[in-house]
Amino acid sequence: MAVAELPVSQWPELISVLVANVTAANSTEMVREATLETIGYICQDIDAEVLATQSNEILTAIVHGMKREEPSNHVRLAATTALLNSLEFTKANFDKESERHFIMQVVCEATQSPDTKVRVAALQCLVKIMSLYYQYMEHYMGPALFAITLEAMRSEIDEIALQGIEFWSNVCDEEVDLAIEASEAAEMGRPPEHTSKFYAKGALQYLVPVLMQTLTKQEEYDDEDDWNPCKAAGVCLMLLANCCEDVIVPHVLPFVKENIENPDWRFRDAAVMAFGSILEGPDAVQLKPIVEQAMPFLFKLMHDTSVNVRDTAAWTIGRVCEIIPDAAVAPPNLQPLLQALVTGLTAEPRVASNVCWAFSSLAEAAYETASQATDGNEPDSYCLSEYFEPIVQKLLETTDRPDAAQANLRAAAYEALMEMVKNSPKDCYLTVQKTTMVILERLQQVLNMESHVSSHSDRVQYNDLQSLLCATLQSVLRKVTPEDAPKISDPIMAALLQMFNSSAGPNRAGGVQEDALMAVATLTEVLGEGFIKYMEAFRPYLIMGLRNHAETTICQASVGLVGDICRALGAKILPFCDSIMSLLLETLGNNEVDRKVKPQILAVFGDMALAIGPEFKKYLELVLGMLHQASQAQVNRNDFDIMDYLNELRECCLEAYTGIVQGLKGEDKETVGTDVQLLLPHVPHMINFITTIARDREKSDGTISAAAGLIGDLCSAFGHQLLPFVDTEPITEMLTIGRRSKTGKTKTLSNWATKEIRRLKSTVTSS
Amino acid sequence: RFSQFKSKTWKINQEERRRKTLENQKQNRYDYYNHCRRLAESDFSVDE
Repeated sequence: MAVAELPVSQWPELISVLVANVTAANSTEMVREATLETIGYICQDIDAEVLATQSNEILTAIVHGMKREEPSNHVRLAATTALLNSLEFTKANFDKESERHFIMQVVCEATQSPDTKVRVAALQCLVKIMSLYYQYMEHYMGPALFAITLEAMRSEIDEIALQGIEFWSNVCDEEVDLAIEASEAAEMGRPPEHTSKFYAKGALQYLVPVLMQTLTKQEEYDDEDDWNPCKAAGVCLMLLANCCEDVIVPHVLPFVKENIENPDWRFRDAAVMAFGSILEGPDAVQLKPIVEQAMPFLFKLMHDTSVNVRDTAAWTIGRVCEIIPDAAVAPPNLQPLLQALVTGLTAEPRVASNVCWAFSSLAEAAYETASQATDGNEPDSYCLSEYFEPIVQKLLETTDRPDAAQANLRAAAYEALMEMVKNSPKDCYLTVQKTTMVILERLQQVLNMESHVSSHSDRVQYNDLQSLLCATLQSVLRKVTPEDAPKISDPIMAALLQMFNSSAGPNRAGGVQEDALMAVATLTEVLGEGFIKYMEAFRPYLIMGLRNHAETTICQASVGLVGDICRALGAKILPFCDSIMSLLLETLGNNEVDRKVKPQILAVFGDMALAIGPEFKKYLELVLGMLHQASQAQVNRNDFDIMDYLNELRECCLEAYTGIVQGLKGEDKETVGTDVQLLLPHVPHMINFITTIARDREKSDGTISAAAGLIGDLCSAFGHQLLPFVDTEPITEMLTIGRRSKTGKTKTLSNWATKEIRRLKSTVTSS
Repeated sequence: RFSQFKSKTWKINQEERRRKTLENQKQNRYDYYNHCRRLAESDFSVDE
């Protein structure tokens, strides 16, 4: 009731009554406990702003219940829990030094309670206070918090140790954010608003030994869903490495060296875990030789007698491949690495899953290195070429393992396969071709299994598999040459159509449909005009997708696909345009549809206009009306998400205008089509719209880019008559910002637009 | 924190596929428009 009434200023005396209940000398233990619990619940569930004005009273009751003299642990626990829930709205009290001192004193005292529950709750308070009020902690860190939390980390009681570790994980999170803030501020040439006190760096020498000790306290038979100090220590070490960077290395390495061959598996595991945890953060160049030395140990540990060690070793190798891939592909390590990984694919699912992840990163890194030498073009060969076929073969086998449902192994293996294919050089094409056929066969097999799927869990797995196969199909199709694509497209499209047919039926699965739509999108890109032969058969499913207003992702994928089809088919899409256009307009005007879809629809108008050129005239008035309306949208500027949306909406409007101008102008650069003159009455609005964007201080880089593009297009379509519209201060200023953008696209288009304007100016002066 | 323990970065979940598809569509639209503008990526620069 309180949660309902307090926000609307009802029941004003409630808090005073509750406070009196706690502080009155004659209140019984039960009344005090129950009242503090009530306060705790109210604080937990109510909007913080509502209680801010009453924070003094609430705090009085809470602190009264928490103090050392309170004889009842039940009351102290209820009070400490209430404090935990009230921390977000007691900012005003934390802002005042004397009150802050008092709250901190009470909390610190509660961390020393003989009652475990009170201690844990008090430590939770400290964890949260550290995040909320970092800037005020300097006074308490040295004299109190450091010792309290370190002692907690050493505790034999898991719940207490967890809070001690969590405190320092939170310190790392805060200090990493502060480091980002500092570097952003430096970039802008101003001092940061908040500064780091580098507590993590200062405490490193004390924290690391305790964390390593904790790392050795693994459960023999670990339950993946359990959270314990050992796992928390691993995460904390990783965060410390990210936060403290290079200086952590000398604190950790001696432990790794001493224990990596320890006869006790717990110490071997802790050593590998510690090593894996510090790979991100410190400078990769400094780490590389150390990692190279460590690799042979890791290969050996992949065959360790303990599955925990094998798993941690595989995870660490995965981290090396992702973070310091140069150390992994270095010649002396590459062959033994691949050997270890391929063998690892047959290990327990959780180990194999880590191995798959390693392959994903390895493929990407190897390809990137090779393509740097070819200026970003597909290289002829790379360091994995000679092993490519057996690796792919083994990954295909892994996806088919009977236990692949465990530890996300099937998805991990498919993902590795996709990355291998995507990042493959020319000399691996034969294997890519073979893989395409395997995936197609599997897709057909899976579709034939449909009738055998009965239980819910079978259905989930069946749908996941279809999604994965569609995704894999996309990555192989992207590699297939334009000559080969038409040879395999018939069976692929047949399978996809069958998929739409069954996923739209009574066992409908939105996820599968979306992936199938994305696969069709890839196919249109690969086939170009050749996609026309599937349009009749595909049209019903496209229409069904466009009509699916309830499932935003499907509707959005269908809208995007219309754009792809326009680009692929060009004018050949004309016979399908009327029905598609009416659906797009209907969706745009429907208030029930998720707003995310709408900018996409506007952009697709541009795609269609460009595809059918002058034929777009019949839709012109309607579409321009829609764009006029959308380009005048106003939003609440305090909401970041909505501001992002506004920029997206504007960008898509600009793209639509561009498509329409270009489409009506015709392809010939020299002779501008007469149809484009139809747009002349709308030019003032387009310019107004561009000017509004130019004047907007929160315009995104994307809108600058699209606006510059449209300015250039308008210049080339309308020539010198446009000059007075575009040669204005806001537009000139925006183009200057655009030319200095970090994004290549924005730079290119802003340069081009500037040049177009100069060209018009010079024609005017010379005539 | 739980998800940070022995965490792996998955590159191709459905969310990621969706994001890549949208990104790809945007890029293709950009390329197509620039193709119509006879605009190659690198042959423009303006003296400030």
